[in-house]
Amino acid sequence: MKSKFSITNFLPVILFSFIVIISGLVLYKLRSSSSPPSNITSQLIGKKIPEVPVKLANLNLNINNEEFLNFKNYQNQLFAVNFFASWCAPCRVEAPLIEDLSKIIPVIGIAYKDKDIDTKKFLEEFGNPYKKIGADSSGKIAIEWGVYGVPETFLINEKGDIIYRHAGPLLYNVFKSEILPLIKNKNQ
Amino acid sequence: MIPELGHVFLVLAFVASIMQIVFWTYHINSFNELALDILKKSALLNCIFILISFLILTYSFIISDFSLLIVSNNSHTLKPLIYKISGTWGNHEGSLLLWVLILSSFTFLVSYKKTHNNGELLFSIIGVQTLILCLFLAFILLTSNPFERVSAIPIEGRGLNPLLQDPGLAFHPPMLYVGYVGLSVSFSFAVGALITGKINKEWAQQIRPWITIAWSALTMGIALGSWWAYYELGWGGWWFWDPVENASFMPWLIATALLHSIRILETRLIFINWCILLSILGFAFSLLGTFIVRSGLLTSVHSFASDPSRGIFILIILVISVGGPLILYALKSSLFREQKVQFNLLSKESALLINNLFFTTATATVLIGTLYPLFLDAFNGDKISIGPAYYNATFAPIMAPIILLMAIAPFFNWGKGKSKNLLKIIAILITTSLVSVITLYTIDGSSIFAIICGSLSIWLFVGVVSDLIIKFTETKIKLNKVSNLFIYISKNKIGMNIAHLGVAIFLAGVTGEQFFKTEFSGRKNIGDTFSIGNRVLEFKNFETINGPNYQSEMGIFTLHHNSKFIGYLKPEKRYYPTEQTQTTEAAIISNFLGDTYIVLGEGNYETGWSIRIYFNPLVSWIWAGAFLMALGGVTSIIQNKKTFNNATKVSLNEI
Repeated sequence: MKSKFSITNFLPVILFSFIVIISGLVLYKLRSSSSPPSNITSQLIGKKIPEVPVKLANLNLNINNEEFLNFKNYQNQLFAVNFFASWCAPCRVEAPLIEDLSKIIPVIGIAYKDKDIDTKKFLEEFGNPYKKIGADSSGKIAIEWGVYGVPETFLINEKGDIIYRHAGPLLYNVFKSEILPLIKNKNQ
Repeated sequence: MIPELGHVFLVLAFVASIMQIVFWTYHINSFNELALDILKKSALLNCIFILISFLILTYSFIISDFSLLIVSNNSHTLKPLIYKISGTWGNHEGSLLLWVLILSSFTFLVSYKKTHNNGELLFSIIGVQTLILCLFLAFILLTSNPFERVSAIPIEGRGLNPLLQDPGLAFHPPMLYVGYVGLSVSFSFAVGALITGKINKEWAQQIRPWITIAWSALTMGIALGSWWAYYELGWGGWWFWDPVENASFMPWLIATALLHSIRILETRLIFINWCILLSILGFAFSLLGTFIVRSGLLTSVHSFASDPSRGIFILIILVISVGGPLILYALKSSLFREQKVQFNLLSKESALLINNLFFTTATATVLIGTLYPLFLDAFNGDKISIGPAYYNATFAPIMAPIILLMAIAPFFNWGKGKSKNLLKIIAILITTSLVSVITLYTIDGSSIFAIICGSLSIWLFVGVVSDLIIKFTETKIKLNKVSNLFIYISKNKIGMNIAHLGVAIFLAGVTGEQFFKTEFSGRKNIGDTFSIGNRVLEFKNFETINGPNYQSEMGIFTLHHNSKFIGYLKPEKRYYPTEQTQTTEAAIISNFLGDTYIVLGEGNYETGWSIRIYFNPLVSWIWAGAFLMALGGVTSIIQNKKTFNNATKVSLNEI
């Protein structure tokens, strides 16, 4: 079968290409001008530790447990507070680095919305790098601390001021480029 | 674990669709029934995979699984259940998943509709549909994975944009997507015809219900969106010629043109190429709409979290799925030979042709208005936006002749047949319209445009009613019982009449809202009384209220009309702490004749509050009209299906 080629039949595709080319150009311009998203900053940096009492996690599973965490015990040096939970997968990822951190400075853990028995199992599996472990079963302490989510790590100096905060799992590059320099500065 | 399962099913659907496309291209020149059967079954498989994936995502929203990125970004534990569910499609990733779910459902429905006797065509249709599905699945999996986990699980989600926490908007996107995606079916029919090189009247018969479904859903979707904008945004308007609104309006205009031209093809087998082109363009505009909303190309209140790299991906999809068929069209459309058909100037053919001419011109106007800022940006970097002034000057004049024609065209005959009642009808129309012109002229504050717009509405209304009366007298059924009414309705095809009646009512609403709106704005304190027209409002009290996930400041007003108590108006200003956004909730008392619409602004007990009040006559008719249009579409599908079944029965009996 012979078919005639008439230019009018090509008109739609020509118009279409024109629109596509223009859109492509604009997109290209947009792409080169878009800026990277900024990091989450905490309101608490430079401020004192929130004065909310933190109950100690009852790892021995005693019936009556009324002991509280006392941050003052650590305030002669730089120390870290790490919010974690047994149900949180990224917390498992960061466990080895928390272990490393605990060899340099004291680390206090706060188990967020977790059952004591689950916290205990988690620590048995991944090791317990923490000096003391607080329990935040209701999640209220996390709100006071302005925690975005678990895991989250804070650095606190000898005056009791929060000087650094990292939301999300501690990764090696963050550990090396942000946390280690802070510790070194303090020690000098 | 469960979200990963959703992801796996999505990947399965993607892999399956690739295999189907390979299978399809391999068999495209050696079509056989077995191959068709395999493709049909796999269409069902795709649909099931995607449905499971979608249900899993919905489940994650319901249980507020904040380990998923889109859940934590778009949901909140305190949100009411319905908005947790609608949150599934209230974001870019989830809405795309809904998109492909609807696409695969349509493919499945097409493949299982029993009326097909052209297997080769159906084979191509499923193939094309699967190709589009595959492209979109790739888009989701590569750039917009809805099942992406977060590294730090937030305690609480960021919440859904409060503007979207609204019943009208919960169902606006699904409706709109049924319309957008429904147009893919007529698109695939057209591409199928180009591939097989065959077209006949049955093709047109089979494609028509799909166009009608898509068109009706699109009408409802647009109307819901406009209704939402009217009561939620607090600007008192219902259509803003925003790029995203235009993006949904353009496919609607094309679908309307196609809906009419397919009638000519069905009865006379002419304008084949034109119908094919329109079918391709309809879906092309749907894709263009998707592209505009999601690429950040044009800025608008509706834009999703826009990302230029996603835009490039959609642009590629657009090039493949529209560019390909358009090239195919350019190469093969001259194959379709048309019979030479003669018709009068006053025939259905010419009327429908003129309709198409105007509708495509209107689409072009909207397209230019939407893309012009883009062109300007590309050439000299200027950012401008085009507002209602442009559209009032260009779009409205194009629409007026369509309305004129719409009232009389149903009385035309096909071909060279003489129209019996035409002169009588035109006489009636002119008389009633003259009466309405005079009536409108006597109303205070009516402009020339108000008179034109209102009279067009009356003109059309009278035209539709006359058509119904003629149909009725020809059916020879006495309307003395209610049951006869149903017989009457079932004997006549009134889908078109309902839809056209909808247009008339819509126009009346537009006339009222555009030209007779009264407005008051100023500062008022508790105890003040003020009036617009013969409506008296009194500012009674001011309260602060706590909602489930917001705090609200509420003004309480009473409304009296002709010193009769009508009701309380309680406009609110809501503050959503999670999202840190404020919304205005206009208070509206709506009735048949018009809306009293009040918005509460800033203020305090000393200075009073700034308040805006509109009286919008007939405004609810706008959406009632749109609803009637969609209802007309649905009616015509049902009625056509009946006649179709009857026709097949008759032919079987004859054998």
